[in-house]
Amino acid sequence: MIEPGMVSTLLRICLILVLISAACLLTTRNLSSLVRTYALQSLILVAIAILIGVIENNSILLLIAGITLVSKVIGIPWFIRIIQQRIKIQQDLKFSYLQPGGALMVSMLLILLVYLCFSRVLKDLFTENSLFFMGSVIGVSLMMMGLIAIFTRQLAITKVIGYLSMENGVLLFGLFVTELPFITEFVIMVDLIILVLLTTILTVGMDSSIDAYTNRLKEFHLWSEEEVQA
Amino acid sequence: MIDLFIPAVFFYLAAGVIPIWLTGIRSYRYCSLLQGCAGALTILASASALLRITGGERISFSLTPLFPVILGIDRLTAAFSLLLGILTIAVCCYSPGYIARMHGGRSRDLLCSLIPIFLTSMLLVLLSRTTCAFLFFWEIMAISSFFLVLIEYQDEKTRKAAFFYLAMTQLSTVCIFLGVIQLYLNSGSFEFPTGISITTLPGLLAFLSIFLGIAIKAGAIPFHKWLPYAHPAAASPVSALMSGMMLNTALYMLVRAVTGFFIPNITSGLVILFFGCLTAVLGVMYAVKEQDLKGLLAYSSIDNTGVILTGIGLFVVFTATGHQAIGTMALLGAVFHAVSHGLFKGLLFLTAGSVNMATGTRNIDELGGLLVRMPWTGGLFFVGVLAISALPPLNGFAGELLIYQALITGLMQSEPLMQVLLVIVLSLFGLTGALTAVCFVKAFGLTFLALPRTPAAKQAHEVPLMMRAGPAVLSIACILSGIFSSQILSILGYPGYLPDLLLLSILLIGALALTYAAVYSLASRETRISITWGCGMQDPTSKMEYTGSGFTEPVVRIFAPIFRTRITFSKEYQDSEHCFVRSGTARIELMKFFEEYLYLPVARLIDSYGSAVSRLQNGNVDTYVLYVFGAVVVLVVVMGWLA
Repeated sequence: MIEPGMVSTLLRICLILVLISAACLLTTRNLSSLVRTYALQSLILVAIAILIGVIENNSILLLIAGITLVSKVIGIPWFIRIIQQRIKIQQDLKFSYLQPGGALMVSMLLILLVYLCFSRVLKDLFTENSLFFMGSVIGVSLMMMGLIAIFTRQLAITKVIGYLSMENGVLLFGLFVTELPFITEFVIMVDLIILVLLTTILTVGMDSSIDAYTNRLKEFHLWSEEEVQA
Repeated sequence: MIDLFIPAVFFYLAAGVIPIWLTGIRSYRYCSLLQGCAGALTILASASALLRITGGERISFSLTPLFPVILGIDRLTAAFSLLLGILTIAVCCYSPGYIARMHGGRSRDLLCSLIPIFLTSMLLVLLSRTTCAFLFFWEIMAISSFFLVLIEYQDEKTRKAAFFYLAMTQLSTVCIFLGVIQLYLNSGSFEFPTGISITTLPGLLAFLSIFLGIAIKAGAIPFHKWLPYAHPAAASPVSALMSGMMLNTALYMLVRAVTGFFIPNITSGLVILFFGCLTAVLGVMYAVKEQDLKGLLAYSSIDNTGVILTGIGLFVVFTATGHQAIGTMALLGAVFHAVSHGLFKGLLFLTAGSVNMATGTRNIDELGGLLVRMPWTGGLFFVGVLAISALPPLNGFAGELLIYQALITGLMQSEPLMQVLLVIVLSLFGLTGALTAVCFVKAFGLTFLALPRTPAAKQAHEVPLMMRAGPAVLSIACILSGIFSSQILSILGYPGYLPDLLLLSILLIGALALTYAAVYSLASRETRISITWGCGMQDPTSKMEYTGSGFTEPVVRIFAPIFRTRITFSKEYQDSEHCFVRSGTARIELMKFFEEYLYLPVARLIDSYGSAVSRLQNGNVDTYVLYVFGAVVVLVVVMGWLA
């Protein structure tokens, strides 16, 4: 059996790794690396879930770790990689509002802000258990960094990874502060898979930006001016 | 008797549904028949409620427990619902003929369908006894009237008028809504409250919100701008109902508010009095200058709203200063004039609609000589003109006389400062009366007398029988309610307020008969043939007649600071030294004071705000996500700050 002190140290390391992976998601331009980073981030979450499950002796957390592993570490990245092989674009070079460096700076400020605010909001948790407090801060920060990824990147594929990263933040927050029921976690996973599938189909290979959706749909006469008028 | 209103409402609603299935003249006839039944039931129920001296009946049902709907009838409601019934009968006689001659296919059915709904909403506003029910029916009234104005939407002017009306009516609803909230906070109930003092801040806010909402709806200056746009744009039966009934519905609510909701206070009385005088004087001045016949009537409605507001304001002032009896006299005058105004304004709008139908124009300068071509319409219009000019023994005289009596009696019994105020009000009231007479001499004289100025006026024919029957109902009501005004007030429990106009009428008729007999017996029997309005000229043409602009020019000159005309001219010169003029243009136009200095600055402000908002709404998904991000950050900060 692992000692509690050791588990706590491991958890802190994992949380730092989560932050690093989030920073990578904001700055990486290579699409393959982006997907790999996401898979890695999800794997760290699996490790965190297992470690907390061991401390609290909670089998539900182990189940959550299991479905996260299957869906987010293996399933979704595998699916995106298949699509990636079919498209020609390897790099995401289009940014709006913030360049990667700026996004990183904003993220750092954001973590600080969340830390300051949460130290007042979760006062009890802050004094009783600094590890769980840190977990909650990083969870919310990760969610907001995912949001930054969504509005700074233009390619659909990176936006989807931003959404997925946001969900990772929610999961992390849930693991440390409010444990969600297993069924909720399961439904969220199913939703994520469907989101990826649908986005893939709609963007016809994920090589386009969001604005190009409409044009493509018009090509298929799904949303033509004539039909709107009719 | 309140139970009789329920089938009346059902008849109205059934009339509104008919044009959905049937189309064409058949639909208008059936619709009008049902509407007529509803009107007759309303008259019956109202008259019997009016005759009951004490007490009121109530009927309550609830759509949801939170928002109870209570309907009730007392004599104040009955007076206005009686007017609604009479107007319904007049409009249902008039409408089929009018609608059948209108352009547009489906929109005519829509017009036919919306009129009963509009009437129902007004009836239910009058019957409402809870604020939430009142607000609900008030909003239905606003929306249905908006669509009624919009019926001929193909015309850009109509669209502009309708949207202007929509903006103003919604502003009115917002104010009323705020007032209803304040009333609830004051009384803790949705039932009509009693005894709220406006000396407290919530009471004052409630009064101001409700008064503002009513003032906008009733067309009090400076919130009157929608009226001169909406009335000419709407069909004539709609204008008759909007001007004759809808404005009165708003004023009815003000009467109910000052007699029930709020404790009479001199400040509130002075506020109402100020708006009343301002509206009466400016309304009639604008009416004098107007060349559009329906526009003139619309401005005249503003003037009459001012007269009624003055009566209500006097009631509050006198009651607050302890002169209850004089206050009652002023209030009686206001209510009597409100009902009278509904009758004669309905009559004038319907006959103006007939003129418009027969000639295709509403411009007074393009009419003339219609009395020989449309004698019935001209005669009915003349009755309306006599009534609105407050000539005895018609109903316009009776209402205004009550207000004059209240003013003069109050003048005798008040303190010096109040006497100064009452003298000012009295002089303004007198000026309003005189200008009203000028205005309607112009309207009748230039429309119906002299020679026709255009071929359209020359070829005009009398409208069909039913289109004369509708206005005839109203003109009979105007005459009877004027002649028997003293008796009516006596039956209602207010004897001695008015002199016996029946006696005066008999004397007048006798004098007329004697004069006629004298002239007939003494006049020469020789036949002389000459040209009408010849004035000694050999061959006068219609070009030599007085135009509307010419007729009102002296008045415009006297009140030039108020009318504020703008003169613009440009010249082209023959030579470079600017000595010889080649050609030039000059233009004199009336400045739209309230529009240019009050409405447009506000509209520009809203427009610039709208532009800023539309820049935020740029259709880019990334931007929207950025907003979400900003919102989450703000949320986190606020959460941390409040913790």
